[in-house]
Amino acid sequence: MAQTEYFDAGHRTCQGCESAMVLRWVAKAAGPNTIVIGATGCMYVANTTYYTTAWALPWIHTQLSGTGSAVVGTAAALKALMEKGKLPSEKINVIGICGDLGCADAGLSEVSNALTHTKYNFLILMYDNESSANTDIQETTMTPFGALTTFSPSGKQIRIMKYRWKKNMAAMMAVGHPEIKYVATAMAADPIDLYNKVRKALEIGGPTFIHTLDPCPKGWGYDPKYSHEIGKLAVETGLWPLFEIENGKFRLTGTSARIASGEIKRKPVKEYISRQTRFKHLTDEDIEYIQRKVDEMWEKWLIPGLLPLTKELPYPETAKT
Amino acid sequence: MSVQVPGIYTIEIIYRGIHQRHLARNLARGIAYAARMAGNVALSYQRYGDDPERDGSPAKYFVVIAKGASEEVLDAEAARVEPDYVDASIVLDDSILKGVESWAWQGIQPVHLKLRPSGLLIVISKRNPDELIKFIPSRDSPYTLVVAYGERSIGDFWTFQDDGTVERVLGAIARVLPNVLSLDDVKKYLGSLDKPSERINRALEAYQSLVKLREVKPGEGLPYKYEPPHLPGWKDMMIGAAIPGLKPNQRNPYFTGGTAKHYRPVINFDKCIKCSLCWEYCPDSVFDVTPDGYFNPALAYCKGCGICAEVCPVPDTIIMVDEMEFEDGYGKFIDEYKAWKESKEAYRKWFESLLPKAQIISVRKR
Repeated sequence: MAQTEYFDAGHRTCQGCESAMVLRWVAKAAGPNTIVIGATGCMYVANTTYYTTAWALPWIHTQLSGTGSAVVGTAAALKALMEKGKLPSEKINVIGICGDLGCADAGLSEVSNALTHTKYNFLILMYDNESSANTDIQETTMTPFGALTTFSPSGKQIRIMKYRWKKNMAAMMAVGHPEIKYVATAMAADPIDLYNKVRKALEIGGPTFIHTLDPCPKGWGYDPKYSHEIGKLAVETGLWPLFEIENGKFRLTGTSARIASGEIKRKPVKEYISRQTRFKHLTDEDIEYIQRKVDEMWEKWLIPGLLPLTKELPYPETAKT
Repeated sequence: MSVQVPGIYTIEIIYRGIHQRHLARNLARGIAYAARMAGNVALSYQRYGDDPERDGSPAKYFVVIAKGASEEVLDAEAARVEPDYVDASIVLDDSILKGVESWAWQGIQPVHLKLRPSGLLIVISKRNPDELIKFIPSRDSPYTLVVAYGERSIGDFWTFQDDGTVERVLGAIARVLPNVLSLDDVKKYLGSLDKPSERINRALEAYQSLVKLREVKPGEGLPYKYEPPHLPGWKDMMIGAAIPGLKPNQRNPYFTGGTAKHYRPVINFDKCIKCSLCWEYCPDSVFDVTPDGYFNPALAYCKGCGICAEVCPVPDTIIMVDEMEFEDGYGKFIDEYKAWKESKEAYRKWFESLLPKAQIISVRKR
């Protein structure tokens, strides 16, 4: 494992920021021959602190929804310049980094479009802190059920403003783009797993997609020292299955694989939810509802965390995994 | 430089982003409401409208009170990112006295940079003014240091912990700035809230017990020379707003982020088993790997999140200690590894003296 840092200290992130750690490990895994493309989001503002930066890699800022286009354009330009002999032919990693608003909400069409460009090699990394954390915690489609944001406050008349279920982004990318060779979910609490997944994604070629869940002390409301514990709880409670789909082959990794094999039992989601003040208004029935949805995902879905088709549906045997 | 209109008072509230934002907002609103109830015009505003403040980073609220002026004069006074001078600075967390490093400033500002000569620096602290003056850089002009006795208020993130800090500060203001807000004004405002008697009692308590005043003479305090940042104009900017990058393993020299911490990690190298977990899990990559395999924190970059102490598997190896226990600061911090190398016995004694004061002690829970 490389000790060299390509995303080093001196950025304006919060105490205990897991997204900063994701970037640190992604940069470490990608190495020096890398171009990073960042969409507007908390990581963009944090990493370019007024005419200074924390990156030791070439880095550009695209607007909020432009990750997909910028990544494809950069990868295509590199390929064309190398074919024309204007650049020495070498492997240059192109990584697009976007938050959940820039990837799953505003930038979804472009990211989805980019993932159909199978001629070019790039990785799109979505760091998901379940809100627009840069501009004071606004709701996005990735905000989980019941969470407090400044757009979904809890009131006296209506307790739960965010009543919709979180979008299944990695699954959508995997299922919706059949030619994509690598899709994975990861998190900073397991950096070695993240490191390996980034290496795999960059080596396999073609468009690839990684979705990380990043606990955010600012938006989730917990003491910054618990960042990793909260992250691990998300996996241990089954809310956040860690998996990778490599050349169409699905595989649960880490703790999720051990849960699926029955080696360890899933913890109740209450352990995860009660640790965060963004869920402080939830009642026991609400938590039971979340628990039911998670149980359903693990017990009834064709593939936990991925295929929301249930096992009861008549489904051809060959199509499984 | 603005035209100084007599009768306009500006108060600045310096607080820790996110930890204290609801406290700072309630306090700024409280001062403005109290002033308005007393027949003045007043308003409060945050430095940044959309709140991109970061967990732990020092942030500011401003309150402008105009006595006998019109709303238009007040609006003109407040129509700027921040005032040139303030009459009083209220510091809600005493560890901010070690310098303010906000996102658009390069370098570390003294906490009283905006304070008018003979202004008031009001600090919420459990320490004496003489202890606090060691952390405050010297100035050319005199000012008054006021300590409102109180626990550092670290509110919850989505909830405001109503621990009486707002009332205590209002009581202190009534004591030291009676021409801005009198005790009657404060009582009138607090009486309009819920639990009025409890709140008024807290304010009265602060008003009566506030004897920790200290006149600070010019030149008193920490020798620290603040140089205003060089802000590049449009001719200095590189084409396409390009930013000069770093070399691998080079930390950003212009922005350290170290003023975001109120606790710092202190490492017992004698117990360290070189497992590398602190290095691995640090979001700010502050740990330098020493030639003999230990991990030495670059404290100027440490934001004090406490993750290293939390993941460390050996008990009492990384401890998080209140920043005010250390006299270094302003970007220059002790090198713990070097101190340990130089004298292991002295370092061990120093570490053991800090152990009872530690906030988080490394013991892995799982």
